[in-house]
Amino acid sequence: MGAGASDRPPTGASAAAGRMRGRLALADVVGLALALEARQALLESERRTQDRALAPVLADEQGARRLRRWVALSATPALALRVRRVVHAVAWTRAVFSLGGMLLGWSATSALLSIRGPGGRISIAACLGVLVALPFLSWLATLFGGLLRGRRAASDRAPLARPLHRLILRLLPASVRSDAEAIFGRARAHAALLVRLQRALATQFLLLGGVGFGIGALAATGIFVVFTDLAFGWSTTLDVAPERVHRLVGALARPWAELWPAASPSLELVEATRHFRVAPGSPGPGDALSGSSPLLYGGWWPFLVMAIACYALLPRLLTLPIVALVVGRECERVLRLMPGALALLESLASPWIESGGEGGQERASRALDAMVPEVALAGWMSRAAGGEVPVAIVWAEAISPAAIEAEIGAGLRIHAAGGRASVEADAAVVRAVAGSGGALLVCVRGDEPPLLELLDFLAALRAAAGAERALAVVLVGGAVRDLETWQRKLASLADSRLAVARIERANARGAA
Amino acid sequence: MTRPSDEAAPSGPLPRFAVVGHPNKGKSSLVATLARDASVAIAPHPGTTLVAREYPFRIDGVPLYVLIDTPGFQRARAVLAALESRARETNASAADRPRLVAEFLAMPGQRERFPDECELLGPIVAGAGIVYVVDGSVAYGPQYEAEMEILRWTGRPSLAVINPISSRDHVTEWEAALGQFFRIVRVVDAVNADLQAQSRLLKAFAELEAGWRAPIEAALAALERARVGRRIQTARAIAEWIAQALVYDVERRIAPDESAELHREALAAEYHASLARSERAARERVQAIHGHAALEARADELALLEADLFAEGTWLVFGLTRRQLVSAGAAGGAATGGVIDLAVGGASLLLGVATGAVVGGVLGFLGAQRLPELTLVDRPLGGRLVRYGPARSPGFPFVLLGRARLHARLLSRRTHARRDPVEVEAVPAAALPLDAVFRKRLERDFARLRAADDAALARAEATQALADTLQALLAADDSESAEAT
Ligand SMILES: Nc1nc2c(ncn2[C@@H]2O[C@H](COP(=O)(O)OP(=O)(O)OP(=O)(O)O)[C@@H](O)[C@H]2O)c(=O)[nH]1
Ligand SMILES: [Mg+2]
Repeated sequence: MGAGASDRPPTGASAAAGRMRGRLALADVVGLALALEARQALLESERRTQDRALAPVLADEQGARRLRRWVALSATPALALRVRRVVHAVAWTRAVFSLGGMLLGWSATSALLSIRGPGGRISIAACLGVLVALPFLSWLATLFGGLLRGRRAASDRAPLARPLHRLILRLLPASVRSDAEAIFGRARAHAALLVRLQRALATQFLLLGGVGFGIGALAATGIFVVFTDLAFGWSTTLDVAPERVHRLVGALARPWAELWPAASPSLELVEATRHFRVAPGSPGPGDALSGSSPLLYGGWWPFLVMAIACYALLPRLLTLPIVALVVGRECERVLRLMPGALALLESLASPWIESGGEGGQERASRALDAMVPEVALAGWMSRAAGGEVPVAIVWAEAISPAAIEAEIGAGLRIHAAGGRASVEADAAVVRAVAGSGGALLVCVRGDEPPLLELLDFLAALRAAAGAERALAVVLVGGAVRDLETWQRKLASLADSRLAVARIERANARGAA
Repeated sequence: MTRPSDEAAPSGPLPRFAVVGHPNKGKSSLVATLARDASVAIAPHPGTTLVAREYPFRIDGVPLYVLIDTPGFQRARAVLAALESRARETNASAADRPRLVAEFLAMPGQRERFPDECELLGPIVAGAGIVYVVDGSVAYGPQYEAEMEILRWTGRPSLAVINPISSRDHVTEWEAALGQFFRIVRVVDAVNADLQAQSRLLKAFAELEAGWRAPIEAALAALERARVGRRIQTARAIAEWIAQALVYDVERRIAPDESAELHREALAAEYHASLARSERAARERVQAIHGHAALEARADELALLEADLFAEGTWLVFGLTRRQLVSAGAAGGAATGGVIDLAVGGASLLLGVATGAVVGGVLGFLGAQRLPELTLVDRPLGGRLVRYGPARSPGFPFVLLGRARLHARLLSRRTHARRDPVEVEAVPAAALPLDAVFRKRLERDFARLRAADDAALARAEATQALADTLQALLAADDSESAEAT
């Protein structure tokens, strides 16, 4: 499948599937560029839905081919149409270059073969120069400029390609122009990636023009040979022996000398067609067509035809497939590097995982700013006791009776609540302590958080014991941060006679 | 069209896991870690979570399982007492207990009296598996027994997680206590569990009920793929940043008779400032890739002084080999061991790896350092430019890479339960070796990037090559850290 044939745009899944194994081509670049643009316009969620739907279908393709398949599957008919138009525009450009070259070759040859020099002779040197040497050199230049130079060059400048593409864009109908920017333009985000592709395309166009030129030249030569009598000649001011000219011409004719001996000029032909403006005395080949057979002067044409074919046409025909390969490779490269393409591939490759919480930000509590004051236990006790025996309630086995006596002093009344005790037992404790006087200490584990259950208990205690009874929560162990947690949480009881104290865990060993 | 996740989607009801326990034991932290959700409310005060919240795990929209964060028990004994009295009244057997719990919750007024218990028991009664979380750094106590008893009454399958919040002091004690109530007991640090620990825990979840294994396995496979995806994206973000920084310069037009030196300071400041900006932007990209977009950016940005980025001591720390830094000074290196601190201490952040011999080399290298240069450019249409940068030192991209790599590693291991800022500087650099193979590949990639300069296509390709190398490097980092645990 040649470059031209594979440029067919995607028309739908089936057509695309047929092309899948083909080389990557311009249509793919244009398609991807336009499809990625369309994708940009989608919402993130739409993009995701689309990707997830296509991912299983694309699973067996890799890299650029997966991208191509993606374009084929996701493109709308409108997009496919736009791609087709651009591809047609490129095909037209190729045709214009070929035909233009042909026309040029035809006209140049006709002009050369019509202009008769002195003695009615056509200059074989001018013919070779214009129809062979010039095209050959321009082939070399195209090749160098388009493919060899700058393969690794740091610069993106493509002196030939830029004006050429601007010209092409100008020639295209306005409806195609904006889409054609996808490969010829510099306005797109990926324009900088296109430089090498553009260069390869320019090379292709120029080669096609050259091929047209060669064919036009051959056709014109053929017509002139058949329908007119051509008399070629050569001349020079320099003292050049015909033998040397013969050797030179022979060297040029070597490629086809075996195939077609007549197309390799003989020494006689070279000698006979040499032409001098002034003929000194002696009769010779100097004046117009004297002496030898007129047919002899036409003897150059096979050589001219073969030279055009071999030096102007053949090299281009041989390099065209190579350039087509280069275009394909550059297409693949551009596909791979096009902005958004990698993200697309990743999105296709990775399933969409959602694991976060439902329904936006959750409702969460904040710690209170108010804090129940911390007191030093001994001082607080002496102030609060008022001569009565203090009561200690050990909550959830936070501390052993022995340890609390060691900490606060003997003669305490000790009750147990919380933990394994039942709710009724708690209520009994509340009733029991309400009747007596003395400071109330509720000993809790400082490293455990304050629970509402305890707050309920404290509230019940306060209600039973009266608003003026001294009440302190004693934290057993726990870090400074825990103390603050307790101070804030207890503040929610809004109990102005409530205090918090702390005793070290080391003294509290032996709980339970 | 079938998708891989369709097959794994459970045919019966979804596996649901209610994470319950005492307040402030890391329930929300565990959920945030497993659900990779940084928005979960986590706070040091108890009672943070007020209502049960669902965290469904979906692949391509297909739900596989649901985690439920709940408030902690607040009045467990009262609830248990009410349940027990109902059981006595109705003369119910043990088999009736699940029904009793459900009826209890449905009774009017309970939501007002026991809001937390209703929130947390609701999902369990509706069929969720129980994940009971306790803190392994505080002692076991009798106040836990009522809650565990209630959970037993629900009849739902359960497992216990010991979360060692600040120490492992009481883990064994807890294991003994929990063993009496739960068949499966696991120790998992809710805030710092790595991906392997997380997946082990999820596998334990899967054992709770028949038919839950397939969806969990599918979820784990998807998580692993997603991790690779994050790595690819991270590698690209870093590569793009380095590619840009490598050729970055600042220019200023000056009058023909002006001295370029006058501008050095201002240009250097501008250069460093925008380098720091670009690093911040790159870090934000990496954070977003890891689902930490809202993460607070701690002011540890590229310190702008020569002392940091442009100090050879720093390069050394970030994986440059001896050979690259060594010049004549190396031979006498061993003798200079005593002055390491003097020489590098002030300049570099992380001294851990600096040995005497290497510092000797650094000292020698200091003379030959190539900071960004000031160059004068004559403009074709008259006038002159003074240009600062790009940094041509061979170590420069390695420093950038080293910083980015540390940051990426911290993020890839960071769970979504953490609320503290990322501190790149706190990581010992000795944890960042760069083996010879990677160094060579990176050198080649950096050289390619520098050569590409402003040729877009060559740059794009060189950046891609660097991203490929980085991806391999990050993968090696990941697998190595997995081995370490
Ligand atoms: N260092 C460390 N801290 C932890 C760990 N687990 C929880 N924390 C801390 O403990 C505190 C409470 O954590 P949360 O996850 O809010 O606990 P919770 O059980 O959800 O608390 P409530 O919602 O209040 O019932 C937070 O400050 C966490 O940072 C852990 O494994 N390690
Ligand atoms: Mg919580």
